[in-house]
Amino acid sequence: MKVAPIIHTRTFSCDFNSEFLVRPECFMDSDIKWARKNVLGATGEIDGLQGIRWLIADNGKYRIAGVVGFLKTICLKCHLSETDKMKSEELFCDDKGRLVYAFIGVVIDKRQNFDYGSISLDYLWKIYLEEIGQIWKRTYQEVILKDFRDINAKSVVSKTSIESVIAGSKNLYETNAVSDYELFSDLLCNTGTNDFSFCSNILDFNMVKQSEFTFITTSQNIITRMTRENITKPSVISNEQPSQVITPTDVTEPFKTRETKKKVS
Amino acid sequence: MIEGYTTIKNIAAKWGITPRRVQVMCSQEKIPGAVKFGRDWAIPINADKPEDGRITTGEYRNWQKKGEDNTMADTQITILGMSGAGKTCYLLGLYYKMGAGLRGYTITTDEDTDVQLRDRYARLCDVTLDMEKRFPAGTDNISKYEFDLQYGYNTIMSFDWVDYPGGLLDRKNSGNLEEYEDVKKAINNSSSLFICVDGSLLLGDDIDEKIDNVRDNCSNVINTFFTEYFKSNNELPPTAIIVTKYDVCKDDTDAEELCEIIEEAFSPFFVKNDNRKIVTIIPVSIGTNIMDNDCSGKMKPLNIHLPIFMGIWFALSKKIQAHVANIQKQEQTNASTISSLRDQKAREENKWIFKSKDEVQRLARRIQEAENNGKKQTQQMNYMLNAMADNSDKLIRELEKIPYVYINGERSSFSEIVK
Repeated sequence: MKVAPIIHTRTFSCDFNSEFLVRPECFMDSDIKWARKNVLGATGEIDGLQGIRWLIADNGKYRIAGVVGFLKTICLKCHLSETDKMKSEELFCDDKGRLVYAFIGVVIDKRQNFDYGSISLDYLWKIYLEEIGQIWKRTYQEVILKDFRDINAKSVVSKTSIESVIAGSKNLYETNAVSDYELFSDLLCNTGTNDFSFCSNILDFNMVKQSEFTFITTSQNIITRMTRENITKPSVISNEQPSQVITPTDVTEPFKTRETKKKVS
Repeated sequence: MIEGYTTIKNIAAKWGITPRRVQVMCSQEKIPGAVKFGRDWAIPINADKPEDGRITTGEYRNWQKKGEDNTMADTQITILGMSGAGKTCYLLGLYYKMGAGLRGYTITTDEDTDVQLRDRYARLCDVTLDMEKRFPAGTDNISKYEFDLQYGYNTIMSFDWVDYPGGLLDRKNSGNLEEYEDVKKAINNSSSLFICVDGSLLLGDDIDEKIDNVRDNCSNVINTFFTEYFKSNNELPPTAIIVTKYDVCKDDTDAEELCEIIEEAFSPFFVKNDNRKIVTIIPVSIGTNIMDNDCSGKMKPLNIHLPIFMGIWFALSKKIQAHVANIQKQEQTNASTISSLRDQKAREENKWIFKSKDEVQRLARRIQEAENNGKKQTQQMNYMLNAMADNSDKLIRELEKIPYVYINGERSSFSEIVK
C-alpha cells in the first residue's frame, strides 16, 4: 500500500501549524482544508479525552487514517525499544509544561491503491519519531513535504458485530477501546466505501452533535440523547467537496445497522 | 414581560412572519423601541411592521445562514494573547469563580458547555494531579462560547467569547484564511479587547530584559490588531491588559515596576493624542503556587472577574447611549405626529365654510391618543433605561477595584471614566 505521512502537532516551542507540519507533497490547498476540517473535528475537547481517537476521512480521491491523542498516551500503548522510549519521553510536554497532543496519520492516494491494509499504533508512532523527533526543539518550523512510499499493510477481515444507531446523518456506535480499533481497521480496509468519515471515542455531546463525521463511536448516554432529540445538522451550502452521507443500503456496510424509529431523513 | 411589551413569538404571529425574521429585524434595529434583555427581545405591543428590505432574487439565497452567523449576544469580548499566555486558563478561572457566584453576579452558559467547562476546571482544581494533567493542553482550534452575566439571576448582558490558538495571531494570513478571518472578525466586532501578557515573562531582576520579553512575545504581534481595529471602527476599544500568572512573577516584579514595563512595552496606548484611549492593567492569577513544581497550589482566582466586568460595563454604557438616542428619536417622532395633527385640527377649526365638527373631534381624539401613547412609550423606555443604569451602577462598585486605570496615557481611576 502506498502512503504518505500526515501530522498535525505542535512542537516544543512552536504552536500548531494550520497546514499540517508534515503532509504529502501533492496536497493542494483544497486537500489541506478538507483534511484539516476532519482532523480538527477529532481533536476537539482534547482535555477530556480518555485514551485515543481513531480517525478516517475519505473524499473519493484520498483516504486519511490515523490516531489523535496525547503523545504520552499514544507512546504508552506502543511496544518500543528502550532507545525509542527515551527519545519519545522528550516529546511529551511543550515549553510551558503542557501535554502535547497530535494527529498522526497516513494519506492513501486512492488512484494508486486498490487494496488497503490496516495500520498500527506502533507504525504511526514510528512515523512521528522519524519526522518530528529531529525538529522538536526548533523555534521556527517549516512544513515537511513527503512523497508516497510503499508499506507492508495487511488487509483485515471484518470482525465487528456492533450495532449502530442512526441519528440524522450519523451512524453512532458504542465506544470501547478494542472495538474502536476494529471498526477503524474494518473501515480503513473497506475499498467499497467512498466519501465518509469516522471518528472514535467522542464523549462530548456538543462535539457529537456538531461534528460532520458519518461514523462515530460514543457513549450510550450520547447515543440515547442524539436519537431522542432527533438531531440533524442543517445542510450548509459551501464550495467544498460534497460529503455524501452513507446509508447502509448504498455501501458495502461492514457493520450491522439498527435504525431507530426516530430516524430523520 | 414588561407591560406594553411583547415577545418575538407573539409579534411574529401578529405580523405573519417567522420569529427568526423578527429576531433579525430586532438585531438590525429595524423595530423602534425593541430592547434586548439577555438573549430575549422585548418589542412594543404597538410597534409597526418594518418594510421587508430583503432581496428576493437568488442573491438572497442562504440568508438564514448569514443571519445565524451574526452574533446574537449583546456584545463580543476577545482576548489577544500568544500561545501559552494563559487565555484558556483565564477562561476556566473566570468560569470557576463566576459560576459559583460573586457578590450576586454569576456567569452562565448552556447545559452542555457548562458540563464541559466544569469538567476542565475540575482538573485545574485537583491538587493531586501532575502539572501536565492539571492544566489544559494547547489549543489547536477555535471555540466559541456564549455567556450571560447575571445579577441575582437576572441577565445583565450576554456576551460571546472566542478561544483560539495563540499562534494564529502570529501566522496572520499565511495559514487557514477562514480561521484567521474568524478571529479577526471577532476582534474587530468586540466592544472591549483584553491583552493577555504572560506573567512568566516578568521573572528576574533586569527590567529592560522584561520589557524586551513582553515586546518580543506579545506587543509586536498584538499592536497590528489594534491598528486594524482603529481602521474598521474609527476608535480604539477600551482595553484591559491582563497580566496572567501574576503569582509567579510578583516577587520579582512589584506593582510599580509592572506598570512601568507595560507602559514601555505597549507605549502607543500610553501617549496623549487625538485618539481617546482607556486602558487598564489588571494582574490576575488563578491561584498562588498553582504552577509550582509540586503543583500544590489551590485554585483561588485573583482579580479574574475585573476585566470581564469592565468589558460588560463599557458595552452596557454603549447600550444605554443607544437607548437614550432611541428615546429621543421616538419622542421627536411623537412630537412631530402631534404637531401635524394639531395643524390639521387648527386648519379645520379656522375654516370659514364647510367646517366639520366631527373632523375636529376626530383629530382631537387622535391628538389625545398620540399624546397618551407617547407618554406610555417614554415611561416604558425610561423604565428599561433605569434598569440598565441600575445594572451599570452595580458594576461600577466592583470596577472601582481595578488597580491601574489610564485615560489617554494619564494614570486615573475608574470613577473618572464614569464621570
